[in-house]
Amino acid sequence: MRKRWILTATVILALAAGAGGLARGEQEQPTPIADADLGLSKGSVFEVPSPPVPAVNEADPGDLPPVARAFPDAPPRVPHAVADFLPITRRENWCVDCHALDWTAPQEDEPTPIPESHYRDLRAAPETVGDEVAGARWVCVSCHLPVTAAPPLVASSFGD
Amino acid sequence: MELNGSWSRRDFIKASVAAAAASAVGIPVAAWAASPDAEWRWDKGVCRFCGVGCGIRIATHAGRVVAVQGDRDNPVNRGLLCAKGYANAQILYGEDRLTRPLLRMKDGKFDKQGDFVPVSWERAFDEMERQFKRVHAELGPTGVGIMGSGQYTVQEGYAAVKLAKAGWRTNNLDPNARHCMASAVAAFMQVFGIDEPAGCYDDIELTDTAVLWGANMAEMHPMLWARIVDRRLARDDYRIVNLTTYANRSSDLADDEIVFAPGTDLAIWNYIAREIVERGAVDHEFVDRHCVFATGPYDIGYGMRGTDEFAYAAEKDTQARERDVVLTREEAIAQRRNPDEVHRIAQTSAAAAGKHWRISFDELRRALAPYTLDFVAALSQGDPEEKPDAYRQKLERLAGYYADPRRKVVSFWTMGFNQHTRGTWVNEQAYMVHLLTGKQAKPGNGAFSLTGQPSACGTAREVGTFSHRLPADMVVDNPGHRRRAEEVWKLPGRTLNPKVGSHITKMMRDLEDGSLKWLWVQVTNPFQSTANANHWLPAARERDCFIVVSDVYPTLSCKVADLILPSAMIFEKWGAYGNSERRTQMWRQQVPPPGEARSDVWQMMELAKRFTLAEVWGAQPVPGLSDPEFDDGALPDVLAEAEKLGYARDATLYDVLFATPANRRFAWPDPIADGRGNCTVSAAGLEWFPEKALFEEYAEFGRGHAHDLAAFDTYYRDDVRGLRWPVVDGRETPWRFNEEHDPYCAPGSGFDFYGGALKALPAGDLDGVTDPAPQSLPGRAKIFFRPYAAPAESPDADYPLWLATGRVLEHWHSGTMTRRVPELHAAVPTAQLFMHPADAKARSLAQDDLAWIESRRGKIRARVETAGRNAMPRGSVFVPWFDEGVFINKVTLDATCPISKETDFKKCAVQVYKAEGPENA
Repeated sequence: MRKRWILTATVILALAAGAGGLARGEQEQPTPIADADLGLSKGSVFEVPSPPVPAVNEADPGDLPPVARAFPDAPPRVPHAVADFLPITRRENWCVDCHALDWTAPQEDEPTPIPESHYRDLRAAPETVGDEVAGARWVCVSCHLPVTAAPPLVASSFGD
Repeated sequence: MELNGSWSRRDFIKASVAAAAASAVGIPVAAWAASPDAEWRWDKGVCRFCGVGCGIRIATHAGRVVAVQGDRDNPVNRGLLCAKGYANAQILYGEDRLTRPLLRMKDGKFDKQGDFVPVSWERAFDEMERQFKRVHAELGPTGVGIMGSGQYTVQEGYAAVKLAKAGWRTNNLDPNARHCMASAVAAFMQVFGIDEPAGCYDDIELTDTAVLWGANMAEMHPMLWARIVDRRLARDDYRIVNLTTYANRSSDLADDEIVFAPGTDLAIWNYIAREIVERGAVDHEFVDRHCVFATGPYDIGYGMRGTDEFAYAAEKDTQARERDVVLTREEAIAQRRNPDEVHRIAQTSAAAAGKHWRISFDELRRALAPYTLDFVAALSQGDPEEKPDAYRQKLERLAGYYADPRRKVVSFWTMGFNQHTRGTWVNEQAYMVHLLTGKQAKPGNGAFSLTGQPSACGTAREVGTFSHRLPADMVVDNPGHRRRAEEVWKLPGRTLNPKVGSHITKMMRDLEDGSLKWLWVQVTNPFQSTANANHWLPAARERDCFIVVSDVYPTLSCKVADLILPSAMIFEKWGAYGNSERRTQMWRQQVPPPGEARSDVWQMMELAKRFTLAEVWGAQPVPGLSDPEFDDGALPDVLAEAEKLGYARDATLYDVLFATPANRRFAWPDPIADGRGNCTVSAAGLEWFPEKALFEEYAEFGRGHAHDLAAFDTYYRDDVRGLRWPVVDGRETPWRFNEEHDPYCAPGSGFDFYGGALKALPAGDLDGVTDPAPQSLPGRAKIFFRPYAAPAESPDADYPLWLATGRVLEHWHSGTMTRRVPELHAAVPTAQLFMHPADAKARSLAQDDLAWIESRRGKIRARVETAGRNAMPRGSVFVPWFDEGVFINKVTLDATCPISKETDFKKCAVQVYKAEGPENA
């Protein structure tokens, strides 16, 4: 997925050229960088940008496959729309309703099961696997982010 | 908050979800649980983001951070992390990391109108030095300054304090934490005489009631919220109340949500206090033994400039309220005046807003009398669509929780209180209610100020990177404190400047009026984070000034800088943070910084090499300085005294402040590193360990003074996950001022509010001082009466909506780190304008439409959100500030609490209208 990210920032190229020049020991004249080319919003600080319509994931559960995690044990992201399943309240948790499945026997045609770790109260009884999702894990959206089509603002070399 | 028809859609989805999933071409389930690589090296660390201070484990491999986990051994978060916490590994690796100094140049020379050109560190320091010395020669120490951070490591903050205050003799050092919790600090000092909370996070499990006052913990402190939710789900009698100006995610699990009108929290507290008094719920034994009553002036202004010379025409009406204010009818009632008369009040106490005096219990009772349920409910109800009776019942229930002697209560707050033109007052009101009921400094009971930044407590407050502070709660305008600092720092007497410097917002104003011309920005992004930015951007770019920004990524502040310095990020250097429960946590450098990026400690030490004592310790002008120990307007020449101490006139500030004989005794390599590197040491070619030396020297200030820190090495022990100070005889202190838990309490006291600051008070009544002779109040906390006061600016016909700004869970501050993490960015790609659907419809705005948000100070555009995580009441809009493309601080007002100087980012008046053009097609 990372390979699909596009370097749009001219500044990155300019900075990389400068650094590369040093590494090669050449006397390249570094390209000056205008302040308008710096940062996440290109343009002068005196301009007022027109922000894009934010990307939203409108997929139903099961429409899209799970997304690879950034690193092992990173919380999986949510590949479907969540707006209709929120808010999470004391009495209602649609995430748990669908995902509280047998973690020992995950099935490809079922939602990602909530793992064993989430049934342990790590503060009071870490050795015990309980029947319910631990209260401290109840607010799923604290950790599990929705996937959208918004492309990265800047490429990341994490994991390279 | 539920959408129409959501139930049927949910039912449909639930019924069909298994079938739909079956058709998905998925990643094999087994691949999701890949186990960490055996070659990875793990170490403990602390999260880079909020003030909760979650413990993390960091994995490194081949010089890169490759993963993080929650640390199950850390009592703060017990293995859990929020979405940002999991991004700690990724924040280092945005591809536009700054790796070389960049200087604005034309034709090979510095030119303020030039573009940025990569230069060597040598060239960068040459220009910094040249510009500093030019400005210093013209304006003296007050012409230069540093904007620092609550994200500084302890060592960075300490190095900055020493360089600025001891070296350059300027008190123009102030952190972004001024915007974050200065009001909390001012209240701690006024109420307790010592900074920082009495309680700790254990209170969450020990209490019966969590009351959130302007603290959307579900988003801003998610792992503390997890602890609260856990208790609420486990205990039927646990209660959560969310006081807020709009419905948010914390409301979703609250028992009561109280949506109040902006600024009326002041009235609600007084209603609660009145109920406590009238119901006979005062804990008289606690109050009589441990408290006194106090009040102060009401006519304190709004922390705006005293002049409108720099105000735009449209700003002048708001600006005029700095000089005099016509009370609203409600203010008149709340301040015991006749509401049918016009009261034009000159704001004569603006310059002495923190002045206060002792009053009697009867005076407090008289002051609270107007705050009846009828008056306060009508004033404070924030959602016009709510039934008044339902709102009143919630207020009564809330008062009942505080008044019930069998119920433990913790009140939490963050920016809703602190970013408030009466921020110090409203903090003090929380203590008023907790002290009146004896629910303070006890396990499960207390008023608990949370912080927003990872070391707002550990660095900004404890180290003292504020313009008025020295380490360990000491202040520059106290001669005894200056002498103590001069003694620890081995400085000649009267080296330190006794005049309080410019707070961070004033430094911006100083740039605009030409009284500050050299500025170094460290670990913060002030040109995005300071309110009323349309003034400060042209000041930076068009005035005669030189601005240096040290950062890890090109931020908005970098765009207005003259010189950009590439910094090392958290796990690329050694450091320590202190969280909201006084827990100091340290980490080791895990990986080297990229390219020529350097630690901030290295940057400060290197620049210090460019100043001899003769250049900075001669006589210096300080306009306005007036102190019995000094000539007016001047700092003395202390060079002769310095020579007596053994310093040569041409010794550098590096020699005298940093590479001291004592500091050089902390050798590098150190076994605590266990083979890991130190980028400060390697860049400077040292054989000593600056981060350890600076920590140990700093700790000297607090040991024996109720701020005791453990030894540096202790924090790296495998069995330690940070320690809550004061750490005395190897034991941390979970509850301060409580004899059972705090070794600083006098034996037999039970409770001892031993903080020493501001404890000699004159006496008076509600209207003023009647007996000016100060009376000492050892061991006592103050119960303040503070009245309701209207905000600096309120909606009117031209600007009919309230604007509040704030954060979202997925992004941190100005977004410079989190917006470079693809997962976080995808989740919340842009800041939206949250508004009530009816307010949108009245402006012909629909979901996702582009709208202008305009105040007296500026206008920007954002996309409309009428649903989502925040539900606004009619008349209020909310815009998060993380997005430099939705630069909301061009709209906000730079009014501050006059006592704390903290900006109110929660209340100003705006108009919203549809943006015409192709974007809305």
